Amino acid sequence: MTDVLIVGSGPGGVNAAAPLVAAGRQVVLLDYGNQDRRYAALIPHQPFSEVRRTDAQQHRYFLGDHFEGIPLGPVRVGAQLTPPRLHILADAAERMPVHTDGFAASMSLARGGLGAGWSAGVFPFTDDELRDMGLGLDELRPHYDAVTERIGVCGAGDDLEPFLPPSPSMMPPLELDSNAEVVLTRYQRRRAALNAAAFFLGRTRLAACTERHRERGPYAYLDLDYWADPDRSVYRPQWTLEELQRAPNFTYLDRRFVRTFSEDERGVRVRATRADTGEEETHEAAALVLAGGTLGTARIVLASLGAYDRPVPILCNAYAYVPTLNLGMLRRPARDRRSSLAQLTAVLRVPGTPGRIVQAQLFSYRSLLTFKLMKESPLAYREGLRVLRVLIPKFAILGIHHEDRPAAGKTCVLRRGGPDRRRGRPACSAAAARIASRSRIGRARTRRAASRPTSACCCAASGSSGACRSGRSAPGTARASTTRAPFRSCPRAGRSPATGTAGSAPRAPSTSPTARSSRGSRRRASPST
Amino acid sequence: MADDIDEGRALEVEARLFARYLVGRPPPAELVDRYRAANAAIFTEPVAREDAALVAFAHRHPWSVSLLDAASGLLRPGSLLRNKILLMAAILETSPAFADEFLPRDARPLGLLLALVAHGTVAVARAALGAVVYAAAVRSRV
Repeated sequence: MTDVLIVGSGPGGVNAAAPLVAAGRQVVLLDYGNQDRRYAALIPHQPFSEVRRTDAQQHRYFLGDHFEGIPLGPVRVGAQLTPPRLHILADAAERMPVHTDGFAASMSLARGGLGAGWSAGVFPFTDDELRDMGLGLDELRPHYDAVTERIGVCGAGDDLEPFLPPSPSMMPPLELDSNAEVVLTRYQRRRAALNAAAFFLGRTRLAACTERHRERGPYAYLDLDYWADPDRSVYRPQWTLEELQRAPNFTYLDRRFVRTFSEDERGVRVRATRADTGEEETHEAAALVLAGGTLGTARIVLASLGAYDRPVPILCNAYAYVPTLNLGMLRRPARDRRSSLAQLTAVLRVPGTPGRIVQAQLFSYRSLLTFKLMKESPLAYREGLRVLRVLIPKFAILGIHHEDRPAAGKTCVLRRGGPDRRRGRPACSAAAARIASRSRIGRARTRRAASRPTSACCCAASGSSGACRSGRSAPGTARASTTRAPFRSCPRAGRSPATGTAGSAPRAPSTSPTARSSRGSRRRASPST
Repeated sequence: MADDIDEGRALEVEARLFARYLVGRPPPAELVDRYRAANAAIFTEPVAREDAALVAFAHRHPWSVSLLDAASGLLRPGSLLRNKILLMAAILETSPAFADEFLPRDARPLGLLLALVAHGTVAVARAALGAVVYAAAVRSRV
């Protein structure tokens, strides 16, 4: 009999599987497993600027064979997903419809989950956060260290150490680009005063290999992170999955959509639908790990318990993108050698609220292409192009993340009606709007962005380990999700075409779906690459 | 069939018009073909009369493209005309022959200031004049 069934191949699923497989357990991982089979092989191993000047086929992966990489219409969740990454969201809206009020969610049925396009930000919980969950950093430290070693993490010992505890196997940080160097230098000149005001700045902790590690890396600074995974230097869960597939006691079953589980004294049974044929099948094991993403996991648990129409607490990290102009770059040229990943992380302790923080990451902009910024400009496109060409090297984009705490109005509910529908309602965009409106430049843009549902991270409060990076639920929620309800059989899903065509997904208006799995309370990872 | 040929020719005219507007040069045949294919893939919904009128006006009066683009940026940002111009921009940007027109450029502070002032002024002037042309264009024949 299988020892452990794991649902989902995202960061949570594969990193749950790894120690189990190493300990000799028979592990089966069920996954839907969408992949990009079209674009990855087209992208040359060259710096971005060289690709732009030389590759006659670049339009295929930059724009998409069906032009799915040209985002006309309003900015929506996943807008920065490029054609090679669009498979990450494919089929999720159809398989797991979500109606949301006040936030936009993203879910993934990809091999690697949302981790297949994650921009590699790594944020361990602090003692403050863990204490709220009845845990301590000392208890989790060995597990953090094990994962750090497995996935490869780089970072520096700097002012962020109180928030990002170091790990023995951490590699040196990525080189900063010109933009970030200027910002960090200015911070260091005013460090004492800024720290006294509870503001701290340092290198972003990233799941990227700056040294050769487990046959991956080192990072080559090609600035292609939104498009490809050169040298596998940035961590993707599918790298761990491939390692696992070499083990005789591990089985990967893809094209499965898991629907429900049941358990008794003999073990657990998981019911799944074959994506390609619609056939129903059952898998059995002694134990089950659900790592199907925040909302995906919650859906499975609620459906399995028959907990329809019952509000469940949900957490949602509000965040906003704020474009700014780095005046310090006026006299400096921008180096070509760079990464697309977050350069710096800033943390601000919220005054008057012990233990609470806001954090932001700083990105430069280049490799997502100029026409995408032109689209957001009210200028005539010709003038817009000429202005942006000289401004882009001076741009710094801030991704500001707010923590969240459980509150009465923040719930999600599973409704009947096939496929089962979920409704989420966190009120978490107001804070983002307030913070975003204080930026120096881009007021109009941030007001516009804040008035649309901001892409928010939701951690379904379930007793299971979601694909939240914490793998933990907020306090009190385990009880909420397991209050007794008569178990009812779940309606069968309709057969899905499961085409996952990248061409269709982006053009749909963003009324739907998408819930992004996230950490429990405070931080969320950087946006998708 | 005749409609297809007409539409194909119209799209070729648009591709050349928009490329000249954006980067001052006509596109090679390959990029014209790509523009045609992109239009077929992207613009599949029925076109609003106002949008059709703007595009038709631009065809008849190529000099108006810059003015209509500027005015639409404020009055109708999601217009078909703007989207078509943006589409051509995307196609040009992802072609090696035109990459340098779109890649970021370093500028000294004075050069940056002059560029912002010059282009900003032109943009405002175009938008003001364009609003007048826009009003006429949306009422014109399709």
